[in-house]
Amino acid sequence: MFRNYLKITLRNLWKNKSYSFINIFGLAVGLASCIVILLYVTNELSYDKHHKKADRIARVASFIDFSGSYLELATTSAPMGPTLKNDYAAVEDMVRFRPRGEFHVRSGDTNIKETDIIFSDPTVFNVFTIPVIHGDAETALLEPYTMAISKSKALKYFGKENVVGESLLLDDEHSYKITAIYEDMPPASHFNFEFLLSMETNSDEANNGVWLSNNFRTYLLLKEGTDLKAFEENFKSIKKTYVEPQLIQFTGNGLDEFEEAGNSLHYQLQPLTDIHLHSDLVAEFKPNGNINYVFLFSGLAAFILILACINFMNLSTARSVKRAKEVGIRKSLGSLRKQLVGQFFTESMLLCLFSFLIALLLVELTLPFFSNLSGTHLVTNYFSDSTLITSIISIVLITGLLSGSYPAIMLSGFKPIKVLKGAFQHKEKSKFRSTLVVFQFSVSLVVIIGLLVINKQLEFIQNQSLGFQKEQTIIVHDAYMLSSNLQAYKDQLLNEQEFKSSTVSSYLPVSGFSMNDQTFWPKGEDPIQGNNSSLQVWRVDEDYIPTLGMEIIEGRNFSKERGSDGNTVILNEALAQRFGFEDPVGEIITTFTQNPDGSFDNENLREFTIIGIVKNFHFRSLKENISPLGLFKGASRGNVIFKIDAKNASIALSKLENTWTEMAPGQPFSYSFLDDRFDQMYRSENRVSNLVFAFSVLIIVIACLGLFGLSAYSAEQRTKEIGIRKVLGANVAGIVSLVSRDFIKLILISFFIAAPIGYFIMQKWLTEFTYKTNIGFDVFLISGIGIIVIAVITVSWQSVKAALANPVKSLKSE
Amino acid sequence: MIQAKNLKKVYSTEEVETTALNNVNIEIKEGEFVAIMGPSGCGKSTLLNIMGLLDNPSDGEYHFLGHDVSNKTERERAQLRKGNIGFIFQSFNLIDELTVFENVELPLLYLGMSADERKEKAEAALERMSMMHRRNHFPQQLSGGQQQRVAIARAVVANAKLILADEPTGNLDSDHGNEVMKVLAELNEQGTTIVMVTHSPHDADYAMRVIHLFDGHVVTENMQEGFHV
Ligand SMILES: Nc1ncnc2c1ncn2[C@@H]1O[C@H](COP(=O)(O)OP(=O)(O)O)[C@@H](O)[C@H]1O
Ligand SMILES: [Mg+2]
Repeated sequence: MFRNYLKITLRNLWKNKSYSFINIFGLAVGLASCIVILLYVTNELSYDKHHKKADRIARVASFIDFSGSYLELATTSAPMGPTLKNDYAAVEDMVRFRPRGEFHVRSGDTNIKETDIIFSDPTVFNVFTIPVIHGDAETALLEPYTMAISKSKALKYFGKENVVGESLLLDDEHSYKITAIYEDMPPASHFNFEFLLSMETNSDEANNGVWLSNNFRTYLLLKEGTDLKAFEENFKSIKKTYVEPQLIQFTGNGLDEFEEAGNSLHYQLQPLTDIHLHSDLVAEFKPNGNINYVFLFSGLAAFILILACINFMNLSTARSVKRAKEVGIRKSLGSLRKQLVGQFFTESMLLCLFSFLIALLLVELTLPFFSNLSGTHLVTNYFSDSTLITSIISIVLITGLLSGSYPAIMLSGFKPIKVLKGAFQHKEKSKFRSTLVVFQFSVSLVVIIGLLVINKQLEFIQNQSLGFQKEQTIIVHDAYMLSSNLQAYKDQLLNEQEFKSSTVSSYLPVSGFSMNDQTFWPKGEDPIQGNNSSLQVWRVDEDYIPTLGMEIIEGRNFSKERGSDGNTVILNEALAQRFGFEDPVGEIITTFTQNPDGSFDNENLREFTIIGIVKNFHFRSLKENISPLGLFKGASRGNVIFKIDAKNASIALSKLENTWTEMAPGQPFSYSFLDDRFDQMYRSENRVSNLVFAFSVLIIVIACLGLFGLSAYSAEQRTKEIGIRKVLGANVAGIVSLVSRDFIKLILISFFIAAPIGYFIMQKWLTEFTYKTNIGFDVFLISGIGIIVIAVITVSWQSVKAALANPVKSLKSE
Repeated sequence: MIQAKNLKKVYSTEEVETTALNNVNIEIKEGEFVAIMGPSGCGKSTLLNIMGLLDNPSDGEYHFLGHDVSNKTERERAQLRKGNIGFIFQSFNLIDELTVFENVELPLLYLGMSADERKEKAEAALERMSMMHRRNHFPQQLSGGQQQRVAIARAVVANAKLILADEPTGNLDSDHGNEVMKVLAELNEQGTTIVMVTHSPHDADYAMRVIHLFDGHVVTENMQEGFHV
């Protein structure tokens, strides 16, 4: 019996090649999208699960609302970890990480800038599963100036694996002895360190006991069965016992007063395996994933598959007249209904299987592209994960069942006498089909609307007046390496015609550069109860404002004279407003000084006179408000920034590099363009836009394939009617509109369903941005006209063919 | 074999109610060859479908092989039909995607026979209809008469006790028509009961008994005296 079904299926597929193509190809695309997304989701969900004790590890996060700035930190204070381990039996172990930025790592003549480098407690190998290949994990990081490095870095610097006992020189300053080599950390991890430096090296800060400064990523290994929520209760007594005394010392007030003044401080535990998808705090190790995107892409993939299944259902029921005869015959020969149901399911399963094989091929072909778009590293290792393989198999089975269900039930229900009467007059049961078409096009439209809004917002960001000029600006990194040649470097290049101006500063209005905030208040007010604000403190020179194209709207810029403007500040409008200065220039603001260990000294205050107001400029993502910022005259030698001539970027770059090699021999030269750095802040939005674009193309292609098939069928069914109409004098245009009209109506209905849904969803998405575009009429106009044009082309392809056919032929064949 | 008492069949559509059969009483014995005649639309096909268990009467009783089947479900009727009743249609109704052999074999598949048994029986049936040489052809490649012979082979392959033929020669020219009629008569000789709807008095001559229907009623029933062989 199965062979009989198989034969019928294959012969039918062969006979109706275009239907088969639409079905198999559509399902293959649907399945391929699902598989790719499953790989992506599996990868996202696998983060940090390779740590054997992952379910017992949690990170301490700090939430601080103080003087108008709210910080959600992935870090906490230095003493937090050791204190918790010491005071609570539930804490089996803890490890702290303290990044100190990038280092230049030297071995002999090789000197390379390394980013994945961190100070770590020696317990790192106990808490996390990081297999040590050479050296002793227990003792590796106990001593100052010792380091553990990854296998690939060992190979990179020494060309061999076992380099225990060798040394590396950091920033040409400190030599670290290598005590252990560990397996490279897997990519699906929220941190990927290549170098672990012993925390003991940095013992002053690590043991400083300052609770109010939060610079340490702290992970607890909890005893089996510890309830995180219950454990968090302990933070109350931690605050009381340890934090409050320092708060009193610093502000003169206790926790209660602190909170009454509208401030707050609390700590939370984040389960390790939740960090990647659920945590988006300040000072994450790297940009995390986003559970919403996991949902979004899963949803889109599911829709693609559903649309392909709908094509399958639509086309097979459209062809039911043909199949009905077979059903009638089989029934009259003794087939039971359930056998027919079985037959049609066998068919859809087989088709689905073909599609699956093609899908596997498509996945292989498109995965690198998708990995690139989504910024993940995906591999088709289907058997690595049992959930993955069972999910894929279930999806294939469900697809087969789903797409076979409607034809199986509908066709097997035909009454043989009706069908066998000779010419079977099949009353078009097209309502169901129309509903499915409307569904397909509504989904397509919602996706298109989404895509248009995302792109409109990205464009809005590009065109937003930022308050500074990001074009033609080159940032030369690590300017401090020029040491005493810095000024000469700048001067020499400014003599060249390509360079218009230049400034030296560590601070830039894009992410990835220094940020530094401190609390200020107007002179004479109470720092805690009164008018205070946290303020970005940026140390810049007098060329900063002109080079970056910022605008002074009141007062003046810093003057060129060395040593002048020592206690002055240029504020942005945000702070001037916040402090309510009527005429800010000349007013004085005050702050604490800071001790070398990072704690605050509230005895010695510093005062700054406002000399100018700079027009607000965006220095963080447009998702955030412009917060108070002050430019202070002072040395911060992170970067030299050059404004260049538009035409000569490549000449300028080679001059920058050549001069660098002369003046900082042996030091690596690195640079970036300010506008690239700006774009990077919206990388995740750009990625989503690209992915949604790819998916929407697929969705539209599949919906159109279905429409194409249906209109072909409808034209075929109406050949005779069209023939008669032509004989009676109808013209081609009339006939095209006759055949297309019904479909266009469906597309219009889809539009009215999709528009409000799309509007609602995208309105929600836009709330993420403080500075946002509006979803205008244009979005709906473009999406509506676009889809109608696509649909008309798809449909009229067939109807024009039908209309042009010679009527004599179609009438004779009846 | 067949007893029908007061059979009634009413088709109701949204607009009209059509009484296709009214008060039909018929008895057919094993081994008979019965022809049903009457003008178009008088209910011949309806009667045949009820006899063939493809449809239920609206009223009245119908006994087939001693079972009262007037009110059986579709499923039960399908079970009883299997292997007992063979159909022959005016439009042949072969499955285009299956070869001659596969079409003939189909009823045996539904009876759950083994491949060897199926092969043996299907080949025997084709042999009987002199269609063996065409076993691997598809229906579209055959003439109408040949297609109908394949359809007959399919009807008899499972040794059906009753063959129901609805205008079996309706789509054929007279030569091919005669061929088909001869085959049916032969089958009847060998013991198969045959009920055939026809418009042609010539074809009806092959039958032992002719039932005339008019507007859903049996008008006359007459035994044929010296029918052709
Ligand atoms: N499925 C049906 N629905 C409604 N009326 C039907 C149906 N089948 C047959 N009829 C009507 O019943 C009557 C008898 O039909 P039928 O048995 O096919 O006639 P015959 O085979 O004698 O030409 C006709 O009037 C026909 O229109
Ligand atoms: Mg009839």
